[in-house]
Amino acid sequence: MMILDLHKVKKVFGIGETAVTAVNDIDLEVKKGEIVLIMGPSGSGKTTLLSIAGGILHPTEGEVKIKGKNITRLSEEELPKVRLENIGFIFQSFNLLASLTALENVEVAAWLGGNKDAAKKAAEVLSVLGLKDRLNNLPADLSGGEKQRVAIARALVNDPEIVLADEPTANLDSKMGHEVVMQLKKIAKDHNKSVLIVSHDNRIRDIADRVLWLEDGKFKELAKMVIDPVCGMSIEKRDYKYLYKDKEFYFCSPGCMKEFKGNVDQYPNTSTL
Amino acid sequence: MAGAASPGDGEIIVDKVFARQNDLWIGDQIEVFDKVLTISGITEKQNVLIYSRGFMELSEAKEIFRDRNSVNFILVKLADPSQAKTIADRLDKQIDGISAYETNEFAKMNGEEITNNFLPIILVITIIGFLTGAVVVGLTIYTSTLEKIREYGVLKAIGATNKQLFFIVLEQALWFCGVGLIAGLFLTWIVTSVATEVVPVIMAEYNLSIYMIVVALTLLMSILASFVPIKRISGIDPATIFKS
Ligand SMILES: Nc1ncnc2c1ncn2[C@@H]1O[C@H](COP(=O)(O)OP(=O)(O)O)[C@@H](O)[C@H]1O
Ligand SMILES: [Mg+2]
Repeated sequence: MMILDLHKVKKVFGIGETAVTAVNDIDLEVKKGEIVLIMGPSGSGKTTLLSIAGGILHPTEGEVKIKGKNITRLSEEELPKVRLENIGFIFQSFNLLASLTALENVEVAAWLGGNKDAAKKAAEVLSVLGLKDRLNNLPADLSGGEKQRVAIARALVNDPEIVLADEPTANLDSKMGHEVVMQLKKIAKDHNKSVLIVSHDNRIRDIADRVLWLEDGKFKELAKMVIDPVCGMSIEKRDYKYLYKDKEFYFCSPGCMKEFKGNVDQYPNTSTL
Repeated sequence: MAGAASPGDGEIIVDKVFARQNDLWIGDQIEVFDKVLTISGITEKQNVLIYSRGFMELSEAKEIFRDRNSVNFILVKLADPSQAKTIADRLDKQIDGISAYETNEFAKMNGEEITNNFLPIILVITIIGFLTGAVVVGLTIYTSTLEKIREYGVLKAIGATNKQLFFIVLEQALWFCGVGLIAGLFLTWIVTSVATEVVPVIMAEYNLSIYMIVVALTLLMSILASFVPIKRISGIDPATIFKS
């Protein structure tokens, strides 16, 4: 059985001439213990897709199943329970509660989940994530990486089936980002949980079982993708192309191409995705 | 109660508040209409908010109030207190223009006097106080909820129901009101201590039922206040939490 199953999911914001189709006819299945990475430019519908998968947003069309249970038509009163029991959320901006300590932030999630021993369970999960000495710190006193690990602990404390992460490394420097990526891998491989990640971050590709490319609300063929050698963004083989020593280079913008032409020696390689 | 229990010749017993107000003590002399009397005793609880009472001998009272058209009370001490009811009834019937009461009956009438004249005022003040308190607590809870609206949204996104969020707000309102209650009781204690010293007419009396009522009203206030931001909380769209 699939942990997550999206079938012909479509999301349209607004009506009439101003309507935006953020997600268009998406099919997606995520197996138990699988790490799926969705990449794509900003505005391509990644967050919208993740919100629909997490039972936070209703799709305009299509169906969403979690562990085989159709949640598409559940009401606002029924959905919180589904989210609480099945899904762990990790956000780009951490979204910890500022006036609560690391422990309390995780404890409140456990309490919502009906855990009788919420504080104990929260401390356990935080310790596993290496935050044993930071339990009583407020988020303001934690580093970005520590904050995201608290958020991971919060996502895991109710033992969900699937963890959904929206740009989990975007607000972190590369070392902290790497730490978080390794934690996500552990969640899937050691605890056999499904992980669906939405990100620009190329490093996440190394741990992903599957990488999907979303553009204009639709999945695209990944073979056509390349990395801009200057900014490192994943882009389509398209407009900004430059031939250098018989090699093709592609860029996200004229700016990056200009930068490349000016300092060719600094950018020896480009890789095809 | 200090000094003599009942007044002798040329003496008067006054109440404590009257004494304090006029800076008098046992042995001092006061002039009641045209006659000078010596204070022989001070009673504890005779002042019914705005009426002062003095006790003196009947002969003296007769002399003082003879030609005046004023209402007076005469205290009758019985050799056999068990006969009070019969005697009171008899006095009532036999003498025109007076009413006779037993001690208990009289005390009850005094009580009713207070109840009828002052309780409505105090009740209005209490209601205004309660409403003011409820509005202040409501606004405080409302603004603090608005300040944290995103955090409530986060909790909602991870799976909190509106009901659970309401209880979180209620808990905060209870803390807020609890601290207010303790501060209020402390303040009441200070104010009454000072006030009874400075303004002698004020007398403070507390009992358990008053405390219970105050606690119950505070609870009610917290619950009412928690309903103020409830619409805002149930209106949060958890999808906004992904937007940074
Ligand atoms: N609540 C909304 N109302 C209207 N348009 C929205 C809303 N959320 C997203 N969109 C639009 O949908 C598209 C996809 O947005 P999003 O899913 O946030 O993309 P991504 O996460 O890939 O950057 C964008 O064009 C965005 O402007
Ligand atoms: Mg996004």
